[in-house]
Amino acid sequence: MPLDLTGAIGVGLRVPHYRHIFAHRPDVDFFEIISENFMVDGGPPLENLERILDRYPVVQHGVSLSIASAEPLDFAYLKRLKALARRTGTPWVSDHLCWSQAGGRHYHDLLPVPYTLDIAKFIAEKARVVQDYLELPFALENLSSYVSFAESEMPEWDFYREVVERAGVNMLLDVNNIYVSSVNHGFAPLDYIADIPWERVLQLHLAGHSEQPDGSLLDTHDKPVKDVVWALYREVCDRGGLIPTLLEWDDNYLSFEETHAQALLAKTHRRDRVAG
Amino acid sequence: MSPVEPPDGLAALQAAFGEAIATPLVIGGPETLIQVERYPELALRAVLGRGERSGPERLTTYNKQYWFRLLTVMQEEFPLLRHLMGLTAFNQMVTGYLAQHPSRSKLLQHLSDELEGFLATSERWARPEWRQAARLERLYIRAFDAAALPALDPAALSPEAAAALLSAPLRLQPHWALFEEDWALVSWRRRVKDDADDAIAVTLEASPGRWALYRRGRVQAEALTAPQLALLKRLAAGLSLQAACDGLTEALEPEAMAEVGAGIQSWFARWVSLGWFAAP
Repeated sequence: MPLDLTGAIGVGLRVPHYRHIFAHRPDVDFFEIISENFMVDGGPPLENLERILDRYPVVQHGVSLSIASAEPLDFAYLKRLKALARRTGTPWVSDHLCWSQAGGRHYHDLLPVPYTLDIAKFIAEKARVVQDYLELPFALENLSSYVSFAESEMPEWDFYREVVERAGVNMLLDVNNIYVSSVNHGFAPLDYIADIPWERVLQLHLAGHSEQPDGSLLDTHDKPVKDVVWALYREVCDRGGLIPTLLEWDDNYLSFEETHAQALLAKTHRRDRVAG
Repeated sequence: MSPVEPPDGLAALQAAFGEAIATPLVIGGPETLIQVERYPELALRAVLGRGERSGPERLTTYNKQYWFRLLTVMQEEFPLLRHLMGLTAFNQMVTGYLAQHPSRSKLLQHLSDELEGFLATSERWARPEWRQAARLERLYIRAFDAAALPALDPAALSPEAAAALLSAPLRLQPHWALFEEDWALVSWRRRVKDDADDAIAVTLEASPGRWALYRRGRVQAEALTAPQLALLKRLAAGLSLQAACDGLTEALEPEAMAEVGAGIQSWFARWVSLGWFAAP
C-alpha cells in the first residue's frame, strides 16, 4: 500500500538522537534522512537505518546531486541513490535546486545560480532525467541564498516554478529558506508563495536561522523556528493544506524530545487554519 | 541518453564562483583574514551588492562557510592529529592540503583520501608522527563504514570445507587493517577522541606497537605481537594459513617461531571470534 504521509510531522534523523529513539521508540510520523550519510558499504549508518526502517517511514533528502551544475549528471551517484531508495521505501526523493560541483571539484555547499530561462530549461531537462531514472517522484527544494546575480532575469519563485513545471517534477518547499532569502534579497515572502503550484509540493521544511551583525540571515538549523517563519508557515498551510512537514535541526542539538516537541508545534500552527 | 548542454557561460561562472569561495582563509593571526582580492574577476562581476553589503562582501559568506564546514569535518575526523599539531597549525595544514587536493567526491568520507601523501611530501608538515597519526585516523574512517561480509564460522562448515580452511586463502573483512606505530598513537587517540576542547596535552614517547583495526559494533583496535603481525600480514597478502605459517620460518627468529607454534590455535580461534575472517 502506498505510504500516506498527508499531514504528517517528521523530524530529521540525526546521530545524537539515536540512543533516545532506539530506547524509547517515540511516536514520530516519519523521519527524513540525508541520503549521502547512508550511501556507504556497511557499518553503523546502515545498521541504525535498518533499525529505524523496522518501525518508521523514512523519506530521503539529498545534498549532493548538484543538479544545477554545468556538469553532466553523475549516474554512479544516482545508481547508489536509487539502491538506497529501494532499501528505505521512500515515497519520494528530494534534493536542492542548486549546484555544488564544478570542474570535477566538490564544494559541499548548496550554491545558487542566476535565474535565467536558459538555466531553468537546462536544469529542468536534468531533473526530468533524474525522476525517470529513480522511478520515484523527485522534488527540488528552494535554497537559502546569500548572493544574487546580475544576470538574473526573473525572481526566484518564477525560476523555481519554471524548473519544476518544465520537468514535471515536484517541490520541497522550505518555509524558513523563503524567509531567509526574503531578508537577504529584499522581497516579500508572500510574493514567493502567491503563485506556488501547490499540487506539486510534496513536503515542507521548517528550521531555525541566525541573524548576522549586518542584518542578513544564515540558514543555520541550530535554533527554534522563529515566529515570523511560523507565521509564513500558517500562510503556506492556508494555501497548500496538509502537506507533510519536517523540522531540520543540525547543530547545537536539543534532546530528541525537545526537538520533536518543536516539530509538533507545526500541528498547532496549522490546526486553526486548515481545520475550517 | 544524450547529455544536456549547459547554457553558455554557466561552467565558467561556476568555476569562478567556486574558486572564490574556496580561496584560502589566512589563519593564525589575531583574526582570520579573508582574501577577497584573490577572488576571480568573473565572480566579482557576477554578484550584486545589496544595502550596505557589496557583492564581494556577500560572497565572503560562502567563502567562510566553505572553510568552516571542511575544517570542522577534518577536526572531527582527525582528533589525534589535531591534538598533536595544535588547532591553529592543524587548520593551517588542512587549508594547505585542501588547496592542493580539493574534494573530488560527493561524499565527505573521501575528503582526506590524499592526506597522508600530502603530509609525506610537504616540507612544513612532514613529521613522521603526524604522518603516522594521519594514517591511523584514515584507517578509522575507512573501518567505520566499510562493508562487512558474512563472518567465517568454522562450526557451520562441512567437514570438507573445514579441512580446506588450512590450504585455501582466507578472506579478511573489508573493514579490517593492520597498523604499526612508533609512538603510542592508538592509545593516545582513545584518550583524545572526545576531547573537543583540546584540554588534553599529548606528549609522545617512542613506543612501538602493532595493531589490527576492525569493526565490531564500533571500530576497535587489537594489540598484536610481532609473530602475530607477521602471520596476519601473510594472510592479508592472500596466503593460506598453511602457507603463511610455512613461510614464517624465514621471517622470524626461532624463539618467535616457537611462539607461533604454541599460540597459533588460540590466536586463530580468537581472530575468528572477533569476526576478522569472511566466510569462504
